[in-house]
Amino acid sequence: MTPHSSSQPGALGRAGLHLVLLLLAIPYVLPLIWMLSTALKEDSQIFPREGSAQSALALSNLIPNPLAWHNFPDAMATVPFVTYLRNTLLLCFINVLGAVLSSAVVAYGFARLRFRGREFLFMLMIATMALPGQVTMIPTFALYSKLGWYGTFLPLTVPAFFGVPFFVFLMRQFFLTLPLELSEAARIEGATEWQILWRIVLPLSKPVLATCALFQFLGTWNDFFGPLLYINDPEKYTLAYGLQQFMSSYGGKWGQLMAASTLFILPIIVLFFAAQKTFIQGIATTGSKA
Amino acid sequence: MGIDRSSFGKRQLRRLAFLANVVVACVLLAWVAVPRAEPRVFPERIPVRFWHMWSGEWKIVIDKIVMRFNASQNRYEVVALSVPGGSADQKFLMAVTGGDPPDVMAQWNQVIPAWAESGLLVPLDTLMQPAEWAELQRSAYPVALKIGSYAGHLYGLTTGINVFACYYRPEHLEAVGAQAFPDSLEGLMALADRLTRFDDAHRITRMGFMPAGFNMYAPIFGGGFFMDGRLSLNTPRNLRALTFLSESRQKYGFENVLKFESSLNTGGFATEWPFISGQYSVAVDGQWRVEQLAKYAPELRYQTAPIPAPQGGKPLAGFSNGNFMIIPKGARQVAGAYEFIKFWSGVDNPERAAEFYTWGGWLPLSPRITMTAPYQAYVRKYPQFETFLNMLSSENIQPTPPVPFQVLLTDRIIRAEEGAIRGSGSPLQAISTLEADVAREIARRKRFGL
Repeated sequence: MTPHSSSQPGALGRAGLHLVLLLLAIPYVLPLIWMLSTALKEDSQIFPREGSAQSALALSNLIPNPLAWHNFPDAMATVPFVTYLRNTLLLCFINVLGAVLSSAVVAYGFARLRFRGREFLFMLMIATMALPGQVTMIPTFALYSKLGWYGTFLPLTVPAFFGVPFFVFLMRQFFLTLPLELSEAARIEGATEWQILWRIVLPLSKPVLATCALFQFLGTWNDFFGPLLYINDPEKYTLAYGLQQFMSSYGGKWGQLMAASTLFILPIIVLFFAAQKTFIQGIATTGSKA
Repeated sequence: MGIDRSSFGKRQLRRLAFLANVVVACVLLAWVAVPRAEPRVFPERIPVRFWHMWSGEWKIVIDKIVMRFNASQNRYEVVALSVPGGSADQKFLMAVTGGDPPDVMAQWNQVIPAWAESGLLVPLDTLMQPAEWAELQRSAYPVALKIGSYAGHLYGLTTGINVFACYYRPEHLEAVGAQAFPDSLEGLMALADRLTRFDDAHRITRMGFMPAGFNMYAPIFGGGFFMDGRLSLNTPRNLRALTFLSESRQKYGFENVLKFESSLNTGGFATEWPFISGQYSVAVDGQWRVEQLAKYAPELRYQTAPIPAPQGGKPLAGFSNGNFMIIPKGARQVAGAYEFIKFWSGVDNPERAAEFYTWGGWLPLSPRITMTAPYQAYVRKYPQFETFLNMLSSENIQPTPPVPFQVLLTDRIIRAEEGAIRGSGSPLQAISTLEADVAREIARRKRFGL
């Protein structure tokens, strides 16, 4: 037996490992399955009479019979889903663009430029991450209100263009892993710092950029509190806000509620599966300096 | 390392693509950046921003009232916004603290004492003419003023009071030989035993009547949590009420009742009320069920009656809450907001406002509104509503005590009831714990200078 083969589990071992992982995954997947199952059930199936076969605690009762597909169009007809989706996507697009670009510029400065007070400023920026949102909520609200931004999307988008501390931290760590020689060579050829950032550093940093973009997308997609505070026009509501409104209005219609919830999380699931390799690569490569 | 000149065209293309992205982003940002005015029907008028928590079919009623107000005059335009109920208080507090609150808000949460004490609300009595305030005090139902008052001021003007009474199924009573609804609580409990049905496994299949709600039954037993301007928790009458609640449930077995209640479909919709499906013979609920039953179960035979008093208790008693209108400190259009409140509540014109109360099936602010032709027509249409109207004048109806820690107090009252009915402690222990918890909270508030 070679040392290589001894460190790799056999087929049986791999199957066992997968079985354990599958079992561990059940508690995490079950709520999603329940959501999908409820989204496809009639109310009578969701709330069966006690003593009936459907009220028994059995896995088979997770399978809807008959399938109530109508919950999906009904949910979409109940709330202006398309309007909410449009607003959410718009906010996601702007925030992802703003947060990733601005954070990259700031991170580049912290990682590659030498200037007095660099470490102190970096620590100061990191320290802002420790501030609970509740502490800054009232001053920022008052500021946006004074600027006349209350009731617009501006408080929900403009801050993203001023760098996100966590992304700056992630990107700085990643940029530190890139060989300095690349930048030095470009400088010798007459490239400016901007050119080095755009042409050398960023093209090599796709995993961390994708990770930050995904985080920002998720944050904006799920943000309920921001729209709650700043938006006063139903035409500008986002999906997260709209879903809450749906719960207030039609909380008893569980089938429709779960259908709306399924529609809400579907893009996130698709996005995660599509980008999971890049995402995991980005996370894995930002933690250590080469 | 050299910059490859041969790939100039490709780089230029990339740069152009990047620039195009930036331009698209800037255009989008500019589009969202331009603050657009709220949708207005009368942009030439002064806007009065009104927040409420109604949604679904209720929101349609609110929009109708707002439309009526806007059509009634040419100075103000009320712009309504429905805010998700669970987060409305947070949004309100943030807006007030941030200096940009709505002008008026409809509320039903336990907020008046806490917000009034924090200086977040405008006392409405200071906006009234002395004669108007005197007339309101003289004419309003006692409970309407209790709900909206704190420390001698009126902070919320009620636009709908909720009181609770028994709904019962006459055919269930007839089937067990009862000729009339009992006139004592003891009689009702004896009847409940005859009405309750069990299956072979002694599981409850129909509940005759199951009392619940310490805040409901404390006044019925002649007690209550706020007497002579102060909290009164651990009193013999309150203890008697809690003991009654505990014994009523333990008679059938706590677990057995819990199983029965868990099996009920209580999704919150009118049609899902177990009383409709006959799983309760007698149920206590609010006046809004009358209209719901007419709408969703028009064939159902039922009647209403006040919860009967026990021996030594008080008649026409119970708990009450309601919807009320508040004006936050910092509101830009206080006069416009008050104009709207008057319009809706009927302080200045009961005849006009009576119609609004009938749209929502709400109990009115004062007998002046009750006596109007539109409201009387409503009562004729829904005769069972009269039970609730008759209870309104009673001094024995009590809302949550006006203390600035209403939420905590309510939580502890519920906890005391749960402890007693579960049998995890005696009713006396539960009520002593309640009193001790509240005393601790009062001491804590004193320590912090609140």
